[in-house]
Formats: sequence, C-alpha cells, structure tokens
Amino acid sequence: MNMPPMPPQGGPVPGPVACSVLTGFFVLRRCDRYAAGPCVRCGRPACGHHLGPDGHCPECSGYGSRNPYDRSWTHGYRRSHYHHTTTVYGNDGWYSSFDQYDRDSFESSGSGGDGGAGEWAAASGDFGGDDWDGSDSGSDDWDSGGDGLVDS
Amino acid sequence: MFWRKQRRAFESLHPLHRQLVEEHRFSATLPAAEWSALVASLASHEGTITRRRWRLPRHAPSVLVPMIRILQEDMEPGGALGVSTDLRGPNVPEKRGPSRQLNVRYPVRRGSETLKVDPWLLLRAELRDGSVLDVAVVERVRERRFTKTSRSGKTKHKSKTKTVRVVQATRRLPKGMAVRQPAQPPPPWLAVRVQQKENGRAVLRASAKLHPVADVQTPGQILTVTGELFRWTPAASAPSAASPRRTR
Repeated sequence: MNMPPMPPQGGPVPGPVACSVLTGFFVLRRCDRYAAGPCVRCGRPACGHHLGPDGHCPECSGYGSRNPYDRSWTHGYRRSHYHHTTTVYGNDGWYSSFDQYDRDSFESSGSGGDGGAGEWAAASGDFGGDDWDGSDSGSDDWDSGGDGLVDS
Repeated sequence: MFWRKQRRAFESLHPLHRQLVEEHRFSATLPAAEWSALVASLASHEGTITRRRWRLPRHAPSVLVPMIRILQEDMEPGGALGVSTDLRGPNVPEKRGPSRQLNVRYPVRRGSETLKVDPWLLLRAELRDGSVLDVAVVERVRERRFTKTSRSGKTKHKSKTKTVRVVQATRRLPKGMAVRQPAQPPPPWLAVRVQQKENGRAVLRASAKLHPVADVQTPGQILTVTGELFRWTPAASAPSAASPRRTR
C-alpha cells in the first residue's frame, strides 16, 4: 500500500495531528498515521491513505465504491456488513459501543479533558459522524494544530 | 493469431495471479502488505487480458479479493497472511470421495451416490490484536446418478446434485485475553465452541452449514460466521485499545 511512513519513535514529528479514521474490520483501531490534511467537508483530520482524491474522508465520501479493488471499499463494506449482522445476531447494539475517544468529542474544552467539543468534529468514526453539524469546529481548529498532541 | 501481445501482458502479471489463471489454484503465505501487489495485479486483469483461456475463475474477483482486502485491514503490514485457494470446482478426481450403490426399484435399474469435498478457500491470518484466525470454506457435493428404462425400452440417465457449504472459523486468542459470553446467543444455525487451553490461551470455533449463495454474497456469509468469534472478546469492540494519538 502506498502510504506515508510514520517517523521513528522519538524522532522529529513533522505534523502534530493524527488521522482520526477508524480502521480495521473486526479489530477496530484508530489509524496510526499522521494526518495529511482535513476533510474538505467535515474538517476531521485524515491521512493521505484515507483522504479520497476529492479530499473527502471515508464517511463523507459516502463510504466509497462497490469495487473491492478500490481502497475505500472496505470502509463501506464494513458499515453495510455490520448493519446486516446486527439483525443476524439479534443484537442491535453490538457494534454501537462508544469508547473514550468518542466520548471525548462531547466533552467541553473547559472540563480538563484532552479533547474539547470543538476540536475534532466527527471523531466518532463509524458511529456518530452524521450527528455533527460542522458549525462550531472543523478546519479552523486544524490550522491551529500543534499545541496539544496527547497520547492516550 | 499467436497472442503475442497477450502473452507479454500475461507475463507481466503477479506470479500468483498467473498461477491462478493457469491452474485455478495457489497456496502462499506472505506478509499482509505484500498481498496488495496481487490485488493490484488482479485489478488490471479485465483491462489487459482478453483471451478467454486466461480468464479469471469466477470466485477470484468476488470472493478471494474481498477476503484478502478485509483480512489485510485487521493485520499489521508484516503479519503473515496465508491463502490457499483451489477454484477448479468439485469435479476434479482428487476431490471425489467414496461412491456407493443405492437400492433402487423398477423402472430405475441402477443408482449410485458419490460425495465430493471441495475445500476451495483456506485462510490464515495473524491479526493485530495478537490472535490467529483460520477460515475454511468447504463445499460438500452429493451427486446421485440413476439409470432407468421406460416401458418403451428407452434407457435414460439422470443425475441430481445437492451442495452444502460449510464455513468454519477458528480464532486462537493470545495469552490472557478474556473471553466473555455475549448477552445475545448466536443464531441457531451457527455453532460456537470455546476451548480453554492449559497454556492460558483460549480457542474459539464457529461453524455453520449453509446454502451456497451468489458470489457477491459469499464474503458476507463467510464474515458472518467469522464475526461471531469477535463477539466473545469484549476488547475487540473497543477501538480505544489502540491508544490513538489525540490532538487539540
């Protein structure tokens, strides 16, 4: 896969913002690459691997194509497969669990958390991107990045 | 006439791609990132190879490629991904099982039953959470052949086939990973077994006997069985386990 390599641990950090796209199919994790820029629609940071040619993150690009050769295909297929299997397992809430990363998106910036409400617009990956109206954050915060990289 | 251009294009393909076209099967274990070269080569097939003799087996673009892409998503780039596929179909001699004669009555004169076992897709992946996933897709075909003679003296040969697809998935967890029974039981057609090994590892097995479906629906069928294994490990649904880098 063509992707920008992460710098070695402890080395100079070219960009302070990490890609916020949720990766994996069954073993879900945040992408560990540095972001190449914000999504032109929602403003969330995404790496070059996850930003489409039109500058959209996987969620905003409508979950990619139906062609399995396309690199954005797995995001869309994961979503449709999860939707289908919740009915098979009879467990509607199985895939909708939120983690700390998602909860941080809703905390206010004054509460001392490491993620304010206006920081990352749609940090909830598959689960909450649609709820964000984009009015109070996004690309403005992107420009001021670099003052608070926190490893949690 | 002699397919010179086609032959040149064919020789530029990935070695496993060529093997898949020529023999309709291959078996290889490579780091997960290296499978992308095969996927890219398969993606170029439609545009470069027009010779009918060298067309791809039908399961390759609709099942094999999606399964490789999905497993790659759950693996570190250096994790080993093994793929063994045999897309020749169930009618090759080595897949033919024992045959037996059936009891028949008039007007049927002879009847025989043959069982064929076709393990056409075997996958083994070292996932990034430390577990090892094995997936096997096997088609079991029962073929019955009858010979009957009608009242007018004509002899007719009839055959019937019945196919069942068995999907088995095994996940060997890393040491110490907790196993928790999900609140909702699995569907009745899906059997799950949990085995706690003496070395502290747990092994989860899921298997299902299914009707063969259209090619585009096959990855979903395989992944539904496989996904059951991930409901038994609570940490698998928590993306925070990856300790994502945050910023403000």
